[in-house]
Amino acid sequence: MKKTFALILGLALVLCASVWAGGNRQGTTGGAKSNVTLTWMVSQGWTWPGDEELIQKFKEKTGITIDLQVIPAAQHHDLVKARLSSGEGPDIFMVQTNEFLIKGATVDPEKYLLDMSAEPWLNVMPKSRLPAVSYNNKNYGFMLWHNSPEHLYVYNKTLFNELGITKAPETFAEMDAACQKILAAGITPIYEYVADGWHHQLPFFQIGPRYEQRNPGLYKGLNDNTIKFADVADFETVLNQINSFAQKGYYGRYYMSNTQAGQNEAMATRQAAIITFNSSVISQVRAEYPEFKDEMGICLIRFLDNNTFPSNPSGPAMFACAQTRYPNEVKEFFRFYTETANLQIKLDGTPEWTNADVTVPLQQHWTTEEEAFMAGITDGQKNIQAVLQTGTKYTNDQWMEFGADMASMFMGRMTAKEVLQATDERRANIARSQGDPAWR
Amino acid sequence: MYFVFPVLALYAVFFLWPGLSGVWYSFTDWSSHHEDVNFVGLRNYVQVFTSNSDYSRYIFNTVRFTLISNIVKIIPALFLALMLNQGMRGRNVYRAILYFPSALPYLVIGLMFRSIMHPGNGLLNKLLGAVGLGFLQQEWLANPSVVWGSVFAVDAWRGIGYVMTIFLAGLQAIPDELYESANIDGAGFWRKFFHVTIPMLIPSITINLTFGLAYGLKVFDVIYVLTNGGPGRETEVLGTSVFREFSNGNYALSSALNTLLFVFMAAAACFIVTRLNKKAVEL
Repeated sequence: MKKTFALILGLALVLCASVWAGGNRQGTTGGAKSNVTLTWMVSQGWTWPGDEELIQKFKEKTGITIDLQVIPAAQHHDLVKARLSSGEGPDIFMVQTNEFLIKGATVDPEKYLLDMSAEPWLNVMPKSRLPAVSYNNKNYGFMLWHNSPEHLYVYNKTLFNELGITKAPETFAEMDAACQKILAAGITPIYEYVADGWHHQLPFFQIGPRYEQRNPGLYKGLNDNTIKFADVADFETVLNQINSFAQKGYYGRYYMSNTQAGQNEAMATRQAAIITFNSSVISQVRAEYPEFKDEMGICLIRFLDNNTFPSNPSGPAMFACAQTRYPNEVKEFFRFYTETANLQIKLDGTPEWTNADVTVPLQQHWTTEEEAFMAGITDGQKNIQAVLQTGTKYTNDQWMEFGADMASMFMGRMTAKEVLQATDERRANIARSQGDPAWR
Repeated sequence: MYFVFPVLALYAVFFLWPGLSGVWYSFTDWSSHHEDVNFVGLRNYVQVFTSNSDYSRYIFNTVRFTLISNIVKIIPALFLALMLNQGMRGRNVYRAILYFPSALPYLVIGLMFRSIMHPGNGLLNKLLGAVGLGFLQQEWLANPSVVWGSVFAVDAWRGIGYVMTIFLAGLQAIPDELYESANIDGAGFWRKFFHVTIPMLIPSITINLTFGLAYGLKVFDVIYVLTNGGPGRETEVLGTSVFREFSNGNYALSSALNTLLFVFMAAAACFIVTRLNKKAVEL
């Protein structure tokens, strides 16, 4: 009798504890549990104090813990794909994506991504960003990125003036001459970093609209496989121009070992005169180094006498793994993250951004330099094509591979032509394995 | 037989079957980009040896790493073991210090040495500059001429203690009488080393070489954390390329590379075990 009573009492206590625990959940919806931990995997450089603040707020509101896993940039994409392929995908993760890349970047969207098509936050993204997170008419992710001009030359205008460079270079020859002057003054003309693996190839791809301008129909030809990378003389020219900058010392002594971590310091301490980044880096440099008072300027990358704007409706996007044990909790986090007030927290807590590209009203922080630069850009410069990696298939898929080949080119191990031939081979492999009829 | 069967069954299910499946998949077009898996014969192997992607060079790099990393670990470890097998004071402390790096995870070692070897603000270049050897300053992990040396140095720093411990165990098993007899015969250090120590250490050498070969041929972590195969593709090895191809969804190609790795390892292990076992001295 005593045993039966003890059993009933025990069960009653357990039941009460469960009810109490359930009643203590605050703000969870859709069957989300409060006592779980979600993993969120991001690449180094994609997370800022704003994210940590939101994670803390989310925990206070729902009791759900977010374990933020920051992976070195050079390893992030490989690791995401390896984890997805092995069935051990993180609950939430970010990858660089665009309309053509989503399949390659996430291995198999329909198999590995949680379907978010019914989520209310999809219209927070501008329509131009939706294709980058969609596949076969289903929506899978949320892309929150800034709309600053990206990636261009951000230069020290005061230093330029002191060295007698009175205006921003407008052609390749002018850029070369400016770099020579800066180098002669004992300053690294351009702070470049190869060790991260993702940055040094940007100048080649960001001037994609210039290639199209000089070779009308190029993007179409590359996408229907009637033109190969190795056939495009302009590609080879630009790779050689970039290599010449490296060999002449314009990238500095340690460009092969440099990482993004040293970029702002190099700019603020006048070790370098130019960085290749998005325009909002100006406000970041100023915030990190308040003693730095030099005037900054922005200009377009000038390889191949480029004068086109790098339009790019792509960027890192946040996805959830279809194999997650906590789909409701993950969706809860996405809903929380995309609330207008929280987007403002994210923007305010992201020093690298001056704005966020969303459809809801936020208080943006555009810099005067950005506004002045954008005022000088015409529609004609903007509307030619997207940058090469976004406008062509199977290009962004091999971003790091292309970067490794360029590093080999810098070391004299490969020629520009060989870099392009290797790119064609990888494009063909990816296309064939995806059953692309243009490569059959 | 009945006692062995459960273990044999587990071995077959968890080791043999996945291994053989991997070999089978290397003859298919299995990838993340389509659902069906078709037999394609030797296509993946042909791609390994003929494509622009330099897989042949990765195989060469793997063999090079295996040979050199063993040399730079085994020879110093042998002499360290001989030294620490003497009755010197504090030898246990020295043994512990030398063994300590082997207990550290490669991730920690990688982060530590990437920081130490950074050309701009790394400890190594700063130290060289401070002692007047500034001309030796290098981009240790980004200069193709020195990057392999840096990798071998870090690998040896971590691995010597472990190799030394195996030698120490072997040295302690050599009977003192053999050295005493050699002393009576008037043998010097080198004579005793070559005619007593080495023959008696053959089992330890075999163990170290077999472990070293297996480790070298499947090397991944030290390369991945230190250079990620770079600069460019300078330090890419089979292990990192298997990982990269798998990450890219090229499972069949990845399996082909893995199968090649297995073949090399099996051949090398067989060679070493059969050759050295013949030379082992039995007491």
